[in-house]
Amino acid sequence: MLHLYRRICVLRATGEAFAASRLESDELPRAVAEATAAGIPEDSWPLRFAAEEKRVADAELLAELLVPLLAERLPWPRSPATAGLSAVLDAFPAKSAARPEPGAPPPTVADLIEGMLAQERGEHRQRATRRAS
Amino acid sequence: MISATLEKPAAPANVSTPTSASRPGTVKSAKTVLVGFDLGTNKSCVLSGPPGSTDIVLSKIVPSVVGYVRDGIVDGIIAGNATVLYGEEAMRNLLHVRLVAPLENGIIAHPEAARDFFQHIRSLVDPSGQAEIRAVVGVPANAGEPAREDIRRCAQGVFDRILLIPEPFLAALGYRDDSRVGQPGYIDPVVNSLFIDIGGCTSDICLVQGYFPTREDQISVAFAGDAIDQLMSDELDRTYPNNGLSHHKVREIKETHGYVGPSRRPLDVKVIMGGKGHTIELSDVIGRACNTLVDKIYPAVTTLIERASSDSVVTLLQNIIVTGGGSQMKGFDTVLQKRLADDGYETPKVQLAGQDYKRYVAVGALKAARGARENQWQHLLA
Repeated sequence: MLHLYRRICVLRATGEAFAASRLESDELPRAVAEATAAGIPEDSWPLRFAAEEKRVADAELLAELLVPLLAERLPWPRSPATAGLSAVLDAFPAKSAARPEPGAPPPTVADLIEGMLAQERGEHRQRATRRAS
Repeated sequence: MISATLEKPAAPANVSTPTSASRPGTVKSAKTVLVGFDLGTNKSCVLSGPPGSTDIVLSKIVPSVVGYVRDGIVDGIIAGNATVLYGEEAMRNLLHVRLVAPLENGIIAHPEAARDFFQHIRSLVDPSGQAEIRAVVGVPANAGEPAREDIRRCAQGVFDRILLIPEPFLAALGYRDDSRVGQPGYIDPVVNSLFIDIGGCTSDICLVQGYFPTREDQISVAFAGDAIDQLMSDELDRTYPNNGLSHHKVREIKETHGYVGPSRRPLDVKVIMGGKGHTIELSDVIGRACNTLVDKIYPAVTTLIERASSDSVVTLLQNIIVTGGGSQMKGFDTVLQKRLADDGYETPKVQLAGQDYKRYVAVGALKAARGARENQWQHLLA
């Protein structure tokens, strides 16, 4: 149940808002009904959900801070073996998509899109943090 | 928290991959079609092409309307006895259809019509219905998450993957002459420009400086082409009560004669009122309405100029670009430039995006589709 809600939060955090909405509207109500039938008080869910949102938001923030540091210190080649990690690095470019240094080469389209997605993730994180606090 | 990213396919967009059917009952081929889609309130522009190339296979401007054929229409009146018509065809059969504009004020107002319209766009870019469609859709600069979610919902089962990107930025990307980037003297609009996109419902002003514009870099002013039409209509109603001029006709007058700056009297326009032809002098009606636009957007323009750093602002002032339908009003560039110069801004240069203004957002969207990384696309689940 909480795993399902965590999954929804993760989908939102990674820009999959539509998939998140689908899970939220299709599967979550069913899971809540089952859990309530199993004896978990219905009024305890908002607090549990808020806690999950905060966990995901915190984890996302940690990744944003940690991944660039790892990328700097571990200059691994992007081989098939590290493709998964490369995908994570691509998803969290930290400040690379922010204002470029003067004289820097023009950004690629993908960098610019990454900047947009980073902004969206940040706004979502702020909303989630506000809801959780 | 990283699992969702890892679950996404890792193949690059330019490698065709067998994809599972995203619509029930269909089996997709390996073909991928990239789409740049400027979804406008009045008109939409769609461009498509294959990944890994600069070819444009389809370039089309479609009025954003869906016509649902009325009951009881005699067989043969509507070509193929179609029940739903789109764009120009719907407009041509105005008497026989219930015309629905899917969007109002830049956002989806009629989801069912929007979905039908998306389906029509899909049929234009992929008549076979078998390809995987990845669409970059332009959205107004001020579109919030609910408006974006409406677009995703309507595109579900029509497109396979989607990216929603604000229109002013796409306009800058579309206007960029890629062949001249890096050449001396060429000011790359993506690196340093101020874009003024005057649409139907909003005028979007956007500072583009080599990174994706933040919310603070974009100002959306709720005054644009439709508001000018309304001002003209109101004044015409006062001067010529019961004139019977439709909004469509008033817009046509504006698009033909619109200007800003000093009065261009005499400006005689022939109109039909009550079935009779009249020639009326409209210079003041048109001038007052159009000049209001400059007054409305000027504070936003100066706000964003002042937000630019001192290192970049001089070059920025040389690269103020006006696009959208409003850019076609005569004298807009010279009036705005003079006003900036009179206010002491350092040798400003305002230029019009040109006759291709209707396509820049879609061109930028197709460029974005071609440049997007695999993990940046949003999957639309069926």
